[in-house]
Amino acid sequence: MLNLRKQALLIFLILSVHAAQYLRAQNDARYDIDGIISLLEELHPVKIFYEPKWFEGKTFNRSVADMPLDRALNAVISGMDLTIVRVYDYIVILPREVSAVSFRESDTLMLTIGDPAEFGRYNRVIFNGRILDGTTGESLPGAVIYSETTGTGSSTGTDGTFSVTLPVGELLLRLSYVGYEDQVRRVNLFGPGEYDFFLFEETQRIDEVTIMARRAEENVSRTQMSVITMDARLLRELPGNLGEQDLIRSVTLLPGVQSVGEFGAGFHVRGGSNDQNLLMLENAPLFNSSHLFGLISVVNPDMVSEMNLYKGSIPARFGERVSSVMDIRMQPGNVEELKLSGGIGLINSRLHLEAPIVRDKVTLSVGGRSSYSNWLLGRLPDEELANSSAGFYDISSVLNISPSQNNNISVFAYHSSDDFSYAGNTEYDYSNTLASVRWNSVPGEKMSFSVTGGLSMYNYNVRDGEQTDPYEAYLLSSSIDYQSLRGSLLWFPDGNHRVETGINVIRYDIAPGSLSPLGDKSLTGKSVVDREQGLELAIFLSDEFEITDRLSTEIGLRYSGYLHLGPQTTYIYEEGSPRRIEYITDTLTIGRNRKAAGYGRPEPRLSLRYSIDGSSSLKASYTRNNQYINLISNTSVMTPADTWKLSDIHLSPLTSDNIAAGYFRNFMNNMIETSVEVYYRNLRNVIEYKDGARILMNHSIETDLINAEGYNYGIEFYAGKNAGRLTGWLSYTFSASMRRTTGSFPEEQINRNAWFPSDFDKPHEFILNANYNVSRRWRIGGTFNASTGRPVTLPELRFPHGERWLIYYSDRNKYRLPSYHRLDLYIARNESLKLHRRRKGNWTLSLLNVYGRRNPYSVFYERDLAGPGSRRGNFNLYTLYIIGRPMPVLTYNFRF
Amino acid sequence: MRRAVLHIMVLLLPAVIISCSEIYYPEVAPVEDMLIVDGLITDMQGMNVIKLRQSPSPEQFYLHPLEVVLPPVTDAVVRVEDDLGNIYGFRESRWGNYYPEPGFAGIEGRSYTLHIETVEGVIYESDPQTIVPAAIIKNVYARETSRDFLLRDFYGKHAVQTVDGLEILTGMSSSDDNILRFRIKPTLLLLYNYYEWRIPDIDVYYRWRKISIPDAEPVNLHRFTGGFGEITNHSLCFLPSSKSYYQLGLNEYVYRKILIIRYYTLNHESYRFHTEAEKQIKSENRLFDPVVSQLPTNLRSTSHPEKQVAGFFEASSTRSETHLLTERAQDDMLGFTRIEDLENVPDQGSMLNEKPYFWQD
Repeated sequence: MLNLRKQALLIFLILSVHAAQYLRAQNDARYDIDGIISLLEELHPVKIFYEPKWFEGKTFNRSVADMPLDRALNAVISGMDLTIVRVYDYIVILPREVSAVSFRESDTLMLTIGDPAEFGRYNRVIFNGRILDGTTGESLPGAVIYSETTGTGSSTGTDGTFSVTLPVGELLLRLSYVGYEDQVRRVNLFGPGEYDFFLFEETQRIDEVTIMARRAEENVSRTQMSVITMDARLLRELPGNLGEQDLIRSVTLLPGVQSVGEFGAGFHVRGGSNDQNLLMLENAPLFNSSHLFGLISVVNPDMVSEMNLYKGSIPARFGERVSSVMDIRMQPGNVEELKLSGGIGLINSRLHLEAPIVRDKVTLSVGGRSSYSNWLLGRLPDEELANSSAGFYDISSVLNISPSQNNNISVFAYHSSDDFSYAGNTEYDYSNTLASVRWNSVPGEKMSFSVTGGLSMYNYNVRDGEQTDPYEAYLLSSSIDYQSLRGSLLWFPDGNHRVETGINVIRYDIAPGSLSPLGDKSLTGKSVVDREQGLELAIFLSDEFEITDRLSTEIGLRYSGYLHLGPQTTYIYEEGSPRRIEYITDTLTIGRNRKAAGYGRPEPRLSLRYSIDGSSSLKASYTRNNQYINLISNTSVMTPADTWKLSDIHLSPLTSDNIAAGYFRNFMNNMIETSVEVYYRNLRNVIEYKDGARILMNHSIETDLINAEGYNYGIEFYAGKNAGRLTGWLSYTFSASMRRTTGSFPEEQINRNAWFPSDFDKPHEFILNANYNVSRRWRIGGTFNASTGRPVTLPELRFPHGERWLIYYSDRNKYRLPSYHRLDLYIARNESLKLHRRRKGNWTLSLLNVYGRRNPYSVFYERDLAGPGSRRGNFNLYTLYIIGRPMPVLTYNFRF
Repeated sequence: MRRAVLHIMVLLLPAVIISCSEIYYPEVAPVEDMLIVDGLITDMQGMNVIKLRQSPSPEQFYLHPLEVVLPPVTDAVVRVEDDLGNIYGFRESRWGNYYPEPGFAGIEGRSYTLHIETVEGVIYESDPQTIVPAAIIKNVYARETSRDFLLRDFYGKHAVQTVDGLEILTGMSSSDDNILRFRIKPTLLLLYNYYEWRIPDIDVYYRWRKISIPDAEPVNLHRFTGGFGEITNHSLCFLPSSKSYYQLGLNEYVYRKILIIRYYTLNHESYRFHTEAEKQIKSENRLFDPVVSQLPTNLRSTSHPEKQVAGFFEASSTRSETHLLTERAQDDMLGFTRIEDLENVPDQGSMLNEKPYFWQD
């Protein structure tokens, strides 16, 4: 370990010295006013007007040009009685008194949209355009345009375009984007028109440090509710996980989203299980979202440009799962220059490269992560651990092609791989492979469409006994293939409607399990569980429009149909008997691509928003969803024993109705956001498991599964401060998640058909996140999380039977683990707050679990076999905790 | 698979570094006044007993099994009724243990229902249980292998230890082509010598001891099933090679290993109970996998439905075979030779300079 520390220190010192030398050389150069202005005009798409004589004798450091534009200009006029006036892309430096007399905001910033001659022809018109980065010209997906006059607005798509329907006349539009300065523009709207807005990154002012900002008014103005939206900048500000930025772990700190504990794959939304979340990475679903069994997620945070999590009000264009949709978009790549970023963390290192391949036409973004746990394990003194391995890597890439202004093609590819082996005995690996191609086109002012093809493949393999027990050596494999084709059309028929329609076709191909002998000596019998194939077809239509100036709605209908296809051997069980092998009355053999079972169901959607005023609104929504694929798992952690299962003749599709309502209000010019949401969700055909259900290699798995019903409800309080020195949020959720079986036979009942809490039932959850900008470089913060312990089933009695002692368990989930609470603190130092500096790095020192709370993760029952003070055969219950004491983590991130 | 998951968890523990486990004493609601039934009737005389106990006090939960005191249920009226309406009374001979009249044995194909009435007037009844035809052992053999055990080391931390030994396997078939379900109770009869040097003579002690094998895999699971009616390569038990596992002294030497196989052919309900019990026991060490395997019961109170019952009333056919472990010259497998039934040999004993009648030369 000493050698490791020395090596790390040496590398750090070398990097530091080189970085310092380079920066010093760059910053020593001095420029006169013409030079510095030229540099600024090169770096930013602006034209600057000034009087050179006002700057005679003044020189400027080269580093001024690296500052954000507004800061650079402030630095240029620092100490002088000058001021800056910006009109579109033109910047004029003027004496302060002249500007006061000659330029009034209303005169200079008034935009005229449409033909004034058409005044009176329209009541409402469509206003199209783009919101772009004022410095680089890159599109800003998810930026908000909001009419403070009418209380309505819209957000930009992935290509930065927006389309908003507004009443004609003079309006005050606010444009906002996370980490960028808000812009308020006066617009005189005469008719339909287009305009591109440019926003500039926030500057760091001496008197007010603003690090994190959110989209002003979006939470109030958008029709949809129960949506969490984050972009890359906001993600970077969220609390990390083991020193790593982790999209999925961070999301679990927001109201209504929970995790099983400090370990464990995926997340749970409003009482739903992990598999009820559709996690889409550039339109391709992830079937296992975790590296190292849930220690970190498989999504590389550097690559993420935007994430939308629909917790309840799921748009009609999405379906497939009943609980939530997490739509993750990856960085399309920088159009201007080569950029390199990365980080060195506790578990892995990562690198992200963005490169323009053909200027303004083709960009490439490639990111990768690799763990070094193998390297660490190899150096452990324990021989068996040294011969073990546990590692992962993932690589993502996005190729973005813009052959014309109205067409965009995005090609996405992703692969992740995890592997484990213990002392060379059991080898275990799994991988995700995703790919998608998306074509977006805007053929006219009123229409755009996109076509997307996606695929996702998930495989796992377990090899056991090859070295130690060749007679029992086996290979266990399972896989799932997913292919989809999606088409959607966006249409603005008039000034008030935003109509979206489309079709999704999905093909599932699941190999639930294949067991085969490994090696010549193995006596393991070969066994293959029948493959499963299914076809899901969905069509949807939605319309978002304003009923009145204050009341808007989004109404939609999705119809999903599903076919379970052959080849398939299906057992038919005796009516009126429990589903057991001995009650099989017939065996159906279904031919290839022939229908084995079929379902078709409508999925209506409705969202309503009533604007009380410019800063508050009431919302309500109703959504029905169907799910035709389920994760079969009776463990709290996603393990190789889990398999995916399609709906079939025995397992009906999971159906859910979601109702939600909320009140949203912002204060202090949107600096503080608050909301209260209530929801109720019922579930039909939830899969539950018989006691001791066998998941692996089960040829008739329906005999171990039970169709249950359930409901979840809750109320979520949220208050967040988005700007200023102090940022953060406070949330509290009260919720319930209950399940019930309805079987007629005791073996198909859980708790005698009484309601019981699901594994994801945490009635109380409280989260406090606070970040304080001490100075321009230093930031401190922390997160406190407290929640009710999750339900568990505990042994209540031990009794003899024959020569054994057996356990009598309580009713399912009768008890709870002790409450969970944890405090994490961090201190961060930015290398530079100059956002345009080419090389940037930051250090973050985190202290996890500050007061060393031993939060139980799981409870297990164990018989001691040996040990001091314990006799063979002594039974005990144990709790397992993951982070049982304070844990410091140092992380370094860099960007070039 | 179980070992695979176990390995992964053990591996992740040091990787996470700071994870750990500790004994947990939850506040569990006491189970009061629960009847615990351990009932068995077979098609063999002398192998039929109904044991009735009361639930122990909750504070005894963490005691060593031998220290737990289970109050017997005495003076109950116990009877078994077959599907022809014949009633067989069971009498209490030891506290809480009820036996039938001598000569009683179940009959293959018949169904039996257990009735219990306690002195408090609470009546319990089982579901009818059918005795299915006995399965047939086709072969028994062994192979050298090793197994990993998750043990706690001196410091109480988990550690995997690999133990060399013999895995005993069997092939079985159903006698009626029905689904094969059975449970096996293997017992190792260890014949060993003890030498006492008394110059110029040597005293030779011929000793034996029966060892029940706690980690046996009694229930046939499906991994090596060849079909509904037969099973191959069913792992019976694992016998460690080192004599330290048999607690032999310095001058004691293993002479023969004999395996006494008592097996029971089960109906569906009994099979399910034993399968769940097996899963429950095997899930003991699964750190991240708190599989809940509530055991089914086929008993309930007909007079007081709120009364809880644990345990099971089993009706099964049973057979026994005794096999001598031998080495096979033709391959690296070890074989077994079937010998006369030694199930009735006393549990342990010793004879000086004289071989007992069952000694195998």
